[in-house]
Amino acid sequence: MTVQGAQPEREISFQDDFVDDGGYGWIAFAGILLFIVGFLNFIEGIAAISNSKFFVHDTKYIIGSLNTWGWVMLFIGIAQLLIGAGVFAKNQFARWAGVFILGLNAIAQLLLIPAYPFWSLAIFTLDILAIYGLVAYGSRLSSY
Amino acid sequence: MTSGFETTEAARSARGEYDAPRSGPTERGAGMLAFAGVMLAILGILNVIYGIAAISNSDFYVGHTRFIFNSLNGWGWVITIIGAAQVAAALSILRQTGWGRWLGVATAALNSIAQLLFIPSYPFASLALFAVDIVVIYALVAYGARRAPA
Repeated sequence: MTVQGAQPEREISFQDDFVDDGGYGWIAFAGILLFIVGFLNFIEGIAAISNSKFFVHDTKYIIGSLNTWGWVMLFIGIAQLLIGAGVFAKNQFARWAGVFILGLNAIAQLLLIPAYPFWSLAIFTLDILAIYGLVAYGSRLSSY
Repeated sequence: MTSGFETTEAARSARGEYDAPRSGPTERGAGMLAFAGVMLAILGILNVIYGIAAISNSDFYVGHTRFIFNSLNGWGWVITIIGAAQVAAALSILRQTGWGRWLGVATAALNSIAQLLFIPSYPFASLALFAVDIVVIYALVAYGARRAPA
């Protein structure tokens, strides 16, 4: 868009305005997912630490107990909330830290499955989506 | 003349909105490849953990299950070996050496089959890993060939 009356430098196509946002939409989406997943992990962590009856009883885990997984989830949740803020502050380090913590959370959720299967699967899916957004578009946008 | 809102490439790069050419097949492929690499790393780690648990006949798994063939112990070995190969493929893809892409497709395909035969032992985990396998195969097959191996 040029100043009114000025000669345009070249013909402006449809793509200039709409397509080339460089994937910032995906980054912002990943940031929101980090907030959502972080908040849910925080809640789940507190519930698991206090051995809430919400969870399936007498479950066996590959490693850890409901209580230890609760602490893990609490810390991951807090880290995700902080990193989510970093992603919106357009901090490049936060994007890679986000990939790491989301990957960790995906692994932890699948080891925590017995406690509440559908919850774990839902959060696992969100983790994968957020990782995609950060990995596929995160490195392109250092100047945004 | 410079209103700050020109959308030409020259104007944008002058404002520092580019750090690299952002459109085109090579760029898209790079993002999807990195994604596939991270997914393979997650899959590999989970497969190794689940595999070792199955080898030691962990109580974690559903008791007295029947498989189409093989046993919990036997599947444990299969899953552990596939998981190790997936970690190797993930490292190769993230370091952009060529062979990891094909190893990634092969191990993800094998793992998708193995997970479905392994379903009785822990259905939810198998289904989740199966879905990720399919996504990895898509990312590698659709975008893996676009950039020449470094």
